[in-house]
Amino acid sequence: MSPDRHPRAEAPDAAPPVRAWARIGRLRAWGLVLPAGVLYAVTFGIPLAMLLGASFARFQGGVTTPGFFLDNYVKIATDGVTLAVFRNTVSLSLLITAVGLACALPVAMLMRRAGPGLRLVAMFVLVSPLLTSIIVRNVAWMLILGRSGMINSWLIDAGLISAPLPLMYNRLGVVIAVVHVYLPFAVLPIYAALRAIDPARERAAASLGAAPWRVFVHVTLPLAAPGLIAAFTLLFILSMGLYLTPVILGGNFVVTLPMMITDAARNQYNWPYASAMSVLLLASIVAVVAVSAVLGRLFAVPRDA
Amino acid sequence: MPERGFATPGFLALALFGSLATAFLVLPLAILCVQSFTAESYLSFPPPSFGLRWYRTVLADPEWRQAAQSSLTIAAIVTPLSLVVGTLAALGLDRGPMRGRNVIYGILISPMILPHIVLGLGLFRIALDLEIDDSLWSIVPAHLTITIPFVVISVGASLQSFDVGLEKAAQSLGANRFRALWHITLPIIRPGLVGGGIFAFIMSFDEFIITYFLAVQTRTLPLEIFDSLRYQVSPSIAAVSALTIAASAALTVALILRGQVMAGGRIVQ
Amino acid sequence: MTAVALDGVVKRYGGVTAVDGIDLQVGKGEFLTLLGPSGCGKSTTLQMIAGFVLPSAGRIRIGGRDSTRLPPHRRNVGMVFQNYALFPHMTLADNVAFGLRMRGVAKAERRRRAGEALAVVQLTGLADRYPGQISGGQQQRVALARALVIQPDVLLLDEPFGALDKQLRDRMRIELRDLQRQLGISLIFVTHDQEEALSMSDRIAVLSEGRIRQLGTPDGIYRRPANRFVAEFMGHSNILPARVVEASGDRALVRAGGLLLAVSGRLSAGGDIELMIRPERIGIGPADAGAAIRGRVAGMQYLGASLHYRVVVEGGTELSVVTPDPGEGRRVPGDPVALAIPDGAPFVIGS
Repeated sequence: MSPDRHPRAEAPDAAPPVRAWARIGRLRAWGLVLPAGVLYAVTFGIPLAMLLGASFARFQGGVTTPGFFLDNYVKIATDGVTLAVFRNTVSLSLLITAVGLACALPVAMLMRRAGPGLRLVAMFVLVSPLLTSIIVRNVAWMLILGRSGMINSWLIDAGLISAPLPLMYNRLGVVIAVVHVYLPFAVLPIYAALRAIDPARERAAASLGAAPWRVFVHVTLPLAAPGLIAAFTLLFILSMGLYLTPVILGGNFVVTLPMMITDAARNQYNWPYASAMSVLLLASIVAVVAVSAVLGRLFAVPRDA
Repeated sequence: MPERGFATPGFLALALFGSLATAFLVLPLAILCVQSFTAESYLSFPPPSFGLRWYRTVLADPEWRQAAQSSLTIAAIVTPLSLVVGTLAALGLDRGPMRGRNVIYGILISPMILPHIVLGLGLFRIALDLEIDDSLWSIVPAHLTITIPFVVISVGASLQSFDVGLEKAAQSLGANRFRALWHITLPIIRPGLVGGGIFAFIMSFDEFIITYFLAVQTRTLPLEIFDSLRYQVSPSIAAVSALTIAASAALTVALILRGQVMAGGRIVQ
Repeated sequence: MTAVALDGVVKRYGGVTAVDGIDLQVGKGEFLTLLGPSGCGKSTTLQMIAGFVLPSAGRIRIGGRDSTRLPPHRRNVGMVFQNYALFPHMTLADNVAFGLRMRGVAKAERRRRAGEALAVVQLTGLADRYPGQISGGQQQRVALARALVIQPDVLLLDEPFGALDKQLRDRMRIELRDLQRQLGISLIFVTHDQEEALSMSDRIAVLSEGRIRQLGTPDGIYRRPANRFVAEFMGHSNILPARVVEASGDRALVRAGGLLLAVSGRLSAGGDIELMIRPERIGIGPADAGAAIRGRVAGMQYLGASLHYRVVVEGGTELSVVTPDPGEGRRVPGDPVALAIPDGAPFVIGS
């Protein structure tokens, strides 16, 4: 570390004039963040604050009255529908997360064991869907899972079934399409965590008499825990905000909170209620992030000196 | 235990799973592309006969052309802007005091985990009040908010592995801070800039929900595809989709190869 | 004429003082080394001369100009960095020409002078390579050429040989010294390696805890250390507490353990002093009854060219003795031996 980047340079003291200069110089570097800061303030600082404010407004007979009312939150808690949709969104997110992690872990393990060439191929396979439009990928799944899609027409032509299987317009279709989109987000953190594990530790466990599966359970998994927690959090958060895929592949049979929010805002012009549901969505995401931060600290692998 | 043999049952099981996962990730897109070349007026796999019929239809259709043009225009404005703003922010974080760095970084990348539906709703509100909904004045800033995190992450990672000593060397040779940045730092972190730029372009090009809230007259490609899905999946949608897949595949190759080219070529250090 | 002058230079980081009042003048064409253990402030001092660290107090003059507050790019100094800091995206020629480009020198002229500079460091023919394609020693030379081509008022080198292996390091030492003499350039060299400092410098400044503990020629510093820190830092030494038995003029007789030794220096009888004897100045031979100092070998280390004995003399004092390897007739632990300490070998530290 070069001396002028020394962390001690930030320690408070009776600064001689020259030092104060240096400090201003470094604070000035934050000026470079300013354009982004101003943009963020306008595009989501202020809008989020307005959203929070609007969630306490009253909406009656198409007229919005600003103020501090709890109407919307009471409605969320009591109308039965909203909470059911919320629960549905959470359980759908958990399902997607579980399936996603179950698929991601073996892929990450394979990438760890693969040679550099195969790893490059795996990277390409993982990154290319990431760069492909989500709506295009949903279209692809419609062509495969639809009533007259590839799978159903093959099965019918082969005489295996007489009526199309319901592969779409239900949770199955949504989960398949969403996992397709989110798998890379799950694989990359797990792979990063696995790659950081020194294989000598696993060999040490094996040399002490642990069978491969016990090595995996007792050494590999605990060391990869931070990556798994990160992948879980990321997948869950992303799933909570799903709109497009449930609409396209779920039809009106899989309803998520974001779909309700859109409906309230765009079709009923009920801003206050849409805002309150957004606050609920944000709050649940913040809660998950907080829990995962705590878990991450609990399962953190103490760094080697 | 990565160095163990390749023929163990565990490895074979993993390899099988890996092949399935690859098929799962790649095949749907491949199937879509194949179907788009159908010469029939309906979609099936495999198509009974092949032809470029639907590509001709799509490329001649003013609505699709208009949508593609809006999407490209928006992405073409958003990409350089997010590169400039995001790179400045990444530089500021890298050079600024340690204290508070993580908090600012967290704020800068928070739009990635914020549900876009909430962003869209909030932006719609403010855009209505300012009467800039359905215009580039609201769509571009909205897209910037979701693209800048990718630039900050990509450029930030490049800056972390950048040796600040190189800038010092340039300064000792007579370059002021700006020239050191221009001649030394920016060329060396170019992979990060290219990667961030590609991601920014694609995120903007692909953005749906925020634009869905803001746009009335403006039709972007995702909005156009979404609307046309309401009736039925026609071969023209498959053709449009295949075109975007081809574009993304080209960008992916560029994204992955740039790392290899840089590492394999002259920059070995 | 002085190339660089430091006047009461201080650097504080928070409550920690890294450099604590350094006064130093480097003459034109002089090779001066800042030597000291890590954390002694030598690198910070160099960074202040280069302009990367602003002093908390004091003045720095470079080439006759007050440069205390000047930014790095406005000082005419050449710097060779510890890891060379070559620009990986530029050819060697472009690396060397960079400083000229920043000074607005025309392209053809840049190319010519960069070629000349590469020739000086014997790298002609590699101009179009990239730094990643050449060896560590070659990178070192490019860094040198790049710093020299701008004709700096002073050349600064920060532990430049740290990354090289021993053989290359020895060769670079000779090359650097020859180059510096030949070009008559003023040079400040930072190292923690005392051998490097001794072999190249006109003068050495030994630093510890942010202060210059001694400034002098290599010979003077090695043979006449001003204090115990310098004596111990500059290679092996026997340091013995001693008492002055008898003093007359600038000669004195002192007793250290069981040894009675004659030393030079104005001392007063009865005073306590510290004595330094370099191990290679002590002779070792077969024990005979007439020898003045007799002892017994406690241990021996074989170092190839030389032998390193630990000898316990009468009275229990242990002395290190280094002799060239005679090939045969080596002493082994337990052997009785006689030691000879010639006149002038014992030095009173600080006198």
